[in-house]
Amino acid sequence: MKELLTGNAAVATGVRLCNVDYIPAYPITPQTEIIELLSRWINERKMIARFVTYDSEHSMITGAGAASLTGARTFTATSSQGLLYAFEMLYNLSGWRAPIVLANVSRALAAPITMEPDHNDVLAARDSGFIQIHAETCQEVLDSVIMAYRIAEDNRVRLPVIVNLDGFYLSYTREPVMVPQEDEVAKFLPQYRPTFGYLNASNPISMGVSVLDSSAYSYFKYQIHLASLNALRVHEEVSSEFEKMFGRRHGLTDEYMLNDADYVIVMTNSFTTMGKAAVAKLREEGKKVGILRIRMIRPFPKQEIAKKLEGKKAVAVIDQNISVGSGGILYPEIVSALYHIKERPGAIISFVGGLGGKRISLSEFRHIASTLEGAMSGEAPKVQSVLLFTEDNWSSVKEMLKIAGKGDVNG
Amino acid sequence: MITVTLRGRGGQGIKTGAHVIGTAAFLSGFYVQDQPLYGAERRGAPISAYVRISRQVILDRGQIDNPSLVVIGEESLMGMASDNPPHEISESTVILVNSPLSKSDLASRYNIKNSLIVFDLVKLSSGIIEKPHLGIAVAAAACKLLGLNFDFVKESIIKELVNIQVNRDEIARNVDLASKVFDTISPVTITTPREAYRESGILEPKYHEPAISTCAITATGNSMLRDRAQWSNYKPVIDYDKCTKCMVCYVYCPDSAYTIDSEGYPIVDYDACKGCNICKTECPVKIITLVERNKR
Repeated sequence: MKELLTGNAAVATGVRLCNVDYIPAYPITPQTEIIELLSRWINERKMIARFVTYDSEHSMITGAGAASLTGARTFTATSSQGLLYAFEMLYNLSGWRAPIVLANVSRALAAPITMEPDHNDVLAARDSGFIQIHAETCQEVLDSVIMAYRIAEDNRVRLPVIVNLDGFYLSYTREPVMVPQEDEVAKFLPQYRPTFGYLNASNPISMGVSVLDSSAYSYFKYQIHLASLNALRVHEEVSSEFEKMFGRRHGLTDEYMLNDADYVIVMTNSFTTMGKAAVAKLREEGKKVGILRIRMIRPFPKQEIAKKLEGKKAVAVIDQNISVGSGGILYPEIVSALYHIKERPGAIISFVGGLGGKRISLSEFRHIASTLEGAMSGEAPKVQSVLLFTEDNWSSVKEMLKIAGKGDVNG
Repeated sequence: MITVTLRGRGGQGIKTGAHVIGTAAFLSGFYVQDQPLYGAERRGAPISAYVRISRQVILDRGQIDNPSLVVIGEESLMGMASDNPPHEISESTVILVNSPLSKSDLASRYNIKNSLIVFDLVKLSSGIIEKPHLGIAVAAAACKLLGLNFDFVKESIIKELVNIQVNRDEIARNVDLASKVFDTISPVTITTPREAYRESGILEPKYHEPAISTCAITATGNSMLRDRAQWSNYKPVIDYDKCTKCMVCYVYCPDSAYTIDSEGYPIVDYDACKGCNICKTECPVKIITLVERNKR
């Protein structure tokens, strides 16, 4: 049935359909609606699960890992500062190989404080061992939750998964979403029956042990890496099966007007929707631009990205995040994915945009397109990340600086 | 694509109103996207919500810049420095306002040259419902302007009110009110507004010294872009004949809107007061009353 759902409701609906057993919870804007809905449905008996409120995100994630290791299908959700507060336990969960699904509703990090999204929160967790799937639409959010459990619980992977959705732009935005039938989801995602690492009273085991031998540490850590890399293949299988059953395909990447494009803009998450509108406009003006959206960020689909970008004239990477002191986080990963291919794009330029949820205007997309064209006609490509920030943006900031007591500041 | 911006106060049901419009359009077979815009506000503070309606897949997100239709929940929201409707609309935008004033009075008071539709919720709801749901009423009016069928509007209202756990009787009364509002409004042409495109060059910010570039506020009176006095339609008034100068109001005020004069009496700065009612609740001798603010 097609319904209007917010991104948050899409997450909760996915969780309900996946027959989750245990939900540890702690509120934070813009995620709270997810756990509010789940607790309401449990109260109304629309869902049979255990809902437990914790005293912080740190203990919430710990509880999620422990519950998962008893064989319970586990879900939890957080945002921003909450994810960072849980940080050290993220690495433990992947080390324990606890296959939970965590919805992260992206919200930029303080200070200054904001409620709106960028991806410094979720990308801070990129080395933690969590698989990361980043969604563009509310439909994709729901579908990704269902796919995430299949990937997480597969014995070739057995790792926790983050499904990421943007605060506001998805979390509170309602869109038409096709809600799958319960019995179909049950067929696609059978009951979780772990075959190992299963804590139970009659068969005691010790989890998360200390290894004072460094070669043992290397072995276990690298196993996590291999498991993560396996997720690329497992994802493709799950994706095909999902398409067969539900008629929608979600790949490692997604593309828009990419095939015949000379210039490509690489993006992630919900801002890609605005990117598509801009590309459609630029096409009308005769510019052959396309979009490659990276959906799975961990493991990083290097080969697929190389395949999609090989032979293109120039590539722009929009990072909706900033690694302070370096620039966009995904940019160097894209560059390294392209370095050894035969027909490498002539220029790969880094843009940082949409920080703190700042919309990327058509003006800014035009600037990206002309920078790419310029780079092909001999202009020296920029080495540093270019901030997508306009004269209009500066005049409003200037006005606020004045009100805050900083006087007249020159740009 | 048709776009709608709704303006109201937190607690009036503006978010639900946007959902009612969204669901009604969705049931009518359109692609729809709707979204409330939350900030750090609370009950009584001005809020906005948006609806996009299209025959094609919607390739846009977030705030709406130049809406086809602006829906204003009550007249007090029209005169605000930060949220003045004429600042973000074009000449083709239709404005729908709930107000007891006449169309010509409103147009001259706020200098509006746009197509203006006015309805009086208090008058329309009398005899039907004691506490009308403002969001539902404005949504019904907007749906009429958008040319939607009332059957879908009714279905949408029921769906959305069930969803926020309103009881059956209240839902029925709100549907009756919506039907009356729907019949009162005469349709006008709502158009796709021209694109709010502005070319603005890329600017690379320079480094500024920490005294500037740290996110700190050094100035007092720094809330001029947000008229806090508009966060409530009510303000506290002190009966000084009975005031004991205990200063409890001064201590409890969360916005430091109270000062103490040379004789020890509390004074309210009405530009800083958000009308939260805490002083009235805490006053041990109960001599603070809330009175309606003068309409601006």
